[in-house]
Amino acid sequence: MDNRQVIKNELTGDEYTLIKHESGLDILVWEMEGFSTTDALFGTKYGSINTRFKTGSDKEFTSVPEGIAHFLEHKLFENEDCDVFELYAKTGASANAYTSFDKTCYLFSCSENYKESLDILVSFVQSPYFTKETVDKEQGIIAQEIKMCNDNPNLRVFYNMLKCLYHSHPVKIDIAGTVNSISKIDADLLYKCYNTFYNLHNMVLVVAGNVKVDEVMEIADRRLKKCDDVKLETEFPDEPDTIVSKENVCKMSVGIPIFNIGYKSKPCRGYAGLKAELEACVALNVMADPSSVLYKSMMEDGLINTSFSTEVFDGNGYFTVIFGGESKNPREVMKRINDEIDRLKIHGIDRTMYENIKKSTYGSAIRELDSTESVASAMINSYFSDVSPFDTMKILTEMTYDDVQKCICERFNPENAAISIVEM
Amino acid sequence: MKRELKLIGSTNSRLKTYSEMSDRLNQLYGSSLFTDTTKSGDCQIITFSADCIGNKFTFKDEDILEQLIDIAEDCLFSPNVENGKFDKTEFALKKRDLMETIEAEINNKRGYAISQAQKSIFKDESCAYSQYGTLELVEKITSEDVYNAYCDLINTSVVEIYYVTHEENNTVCKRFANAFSKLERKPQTLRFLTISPLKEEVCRTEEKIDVKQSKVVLAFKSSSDDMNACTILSGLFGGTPVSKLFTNVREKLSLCYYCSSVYVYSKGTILADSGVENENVGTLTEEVINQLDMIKKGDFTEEELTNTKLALINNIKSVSDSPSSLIGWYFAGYYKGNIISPEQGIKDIMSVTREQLTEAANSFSLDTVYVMAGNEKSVSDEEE
Repeated sequence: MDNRQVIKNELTGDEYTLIKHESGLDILVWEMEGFSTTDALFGTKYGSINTRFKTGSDKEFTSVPEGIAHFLEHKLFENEDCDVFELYAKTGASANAYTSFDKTCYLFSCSENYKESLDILVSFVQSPYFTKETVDKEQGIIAQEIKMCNDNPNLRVFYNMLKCLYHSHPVKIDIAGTVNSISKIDADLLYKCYNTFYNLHNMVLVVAGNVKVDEVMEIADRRLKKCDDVKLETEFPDEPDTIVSKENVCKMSVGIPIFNIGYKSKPCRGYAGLKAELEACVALNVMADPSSVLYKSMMEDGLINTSFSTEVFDGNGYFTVIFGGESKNPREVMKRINDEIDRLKIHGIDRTMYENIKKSTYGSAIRELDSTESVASAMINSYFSDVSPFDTMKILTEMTYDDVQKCICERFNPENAAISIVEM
Repeated sequence: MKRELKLIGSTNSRLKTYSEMSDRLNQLYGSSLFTDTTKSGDCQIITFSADCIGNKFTFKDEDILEQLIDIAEDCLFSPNVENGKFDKTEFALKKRDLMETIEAEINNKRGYAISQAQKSIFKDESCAYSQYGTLELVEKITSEDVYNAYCDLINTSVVEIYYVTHEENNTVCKRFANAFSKLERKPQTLRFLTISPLKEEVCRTEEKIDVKQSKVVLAFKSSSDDMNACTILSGLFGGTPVSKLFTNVREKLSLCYYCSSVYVYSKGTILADSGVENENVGTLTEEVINQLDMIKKGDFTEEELTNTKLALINNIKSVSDSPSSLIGWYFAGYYKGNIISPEQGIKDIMSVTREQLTEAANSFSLDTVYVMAGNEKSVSDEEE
């Protein structure tokens, strides 16, 4: 018997169903009235940072080559007898997959035949097929993907910043690995990673849009193979609070220098992690949104342009707030930001500004409910972070001025900041 | 990256600076005002849009829609102008921003390669140029020039107004239509469809840039007016993960990570592009041409044709799920001179026959091959 639970958002009236399936998989279904589209994601809590792991039956931890989670994602798209895209082609669904730092997700979006597409999704992710030939063939394709990323200055500037901030945490390595590291991947290693991480207890299925819970359950009951919990453990090397270096400069063909400035601080997980993330997000906007004093003055002095943006980057074992953009004088941008941080720590943030940014952040959370794709993605992200997709709105409505001021004092430390620059 | 700071959408006579405007929009729960400039064939499309969350989601039942429309109307009809000039400071900011946007175009290598290729593909046609113009041109622009361009835009451009909401409400469109009708407008006559002439000889251009991966862009041109058949053709050729280019050039030959095609209706042109090892540029180019030749000979299955149609239909059926795709659908219908419902669009796609498709394929000829040549393979490449 499955165990269903309806989870409601009292603020907006939205709700979704959480099913603890007997196979060991958790399934989240959000029926969205009035939508034609259905979006589904089948994901595993396995990304580029999970390079050291063991199961209950292993004595020692295993280390695997950089980029293997991403390689595995590519290879899973190939069944024994055909390419998975060929199966989807018959339903008309648009299918894809992605690997991030902490998860791998297989997805489709469609406006008809969703049951057929869901059947394909659930089946192929449970049917690995790797051989020497198919692995060799993929090396060429992924090598070109890596080279494409190496030519992308926005990615380079970001990774170079992470290398300045993190001593040993694997978040500092490229998700796709290097041409050299992926050459060490073979079919046996792929099976090892697959059997460890693609265990239904480490996975989740989310479906949103034009969908019915009962129909999803019918497919789940038919296709999910019951599996035992392998008692997976992942391990990260100790990461000190300090940073590695203050600056990295890289030469590439760019029209105007690009920069990322990151402030490293203590990571946290679950509800506390989401709360910290939202406070940092509001803090960044109070400090550097286009209506802020800092933005206005840097703009008027020709230091930044409209590509300037901010981001909170956090996950298992890392937490960084980032300012990024293009500038002919990036070091001066960093100096201005540090001065502003010092000023805000002493004088406090502007109260009206704080209220307006909070409203605007709340507005963005409401807008997320406007598409099946963003709802499905919010569900999977929150599931893997051990929070509910409705927690964002709850935290925002309960957030106080003092929370944000405290966040600036604790998480914006110029001593723990690094600048990465890509220039000609 | 955000590129939304343009004069009309970022200030008006009441909210005189971008910072005041941003502050006001934050108060309206992060409502957005957005201006964008794109090319469609030889026409320049300027989109001015605004959106906000429903009033019922506000904390105290505020009417934010009405306030947002007031701001938008001021942006269009009451800009921050004095004595026939836009405000000096705001103008200088946007001018520098536009120049830096142009300078930064090279940062996105795939986009830059396509943009450079278009200079050869559409040589001597308006659409050969970037929608942002050139550094030299922008440098010379004065605030008066921009004000004159604004007057020209408001008085002579062809204007389409769209409003998408969950309830019956026609007042917003009427309000903007009324505002335009108060002006003595003389809208110009536009030609959205200007088929690009096929060159007598295939143009081959190569540009050297310091990158690790070379980029190849190929243009095929046709004067076919069977738009539905051409759309399906481009889908079958390189528009889906089961297309000829994806399955053969990427999956079978492992030459590249991406290889796809897009149909530029307004110019009767199919663009195909990919990123490869420099030593494989020749092989890839031949293979792309070869794949189109196979379609010309009818070397595709009934199933491949049906699957391509299904993929296109899947997109059309989702049109009503977002305001922007709905507007995109009807605006495309407008400039193609054939406004139809998504349902009719699906019927049109389904009705295309195998013969029509082969005929469409045979109407395309290779016009241009552009190569952005990267560095030769080196040992240091492997070490990274």
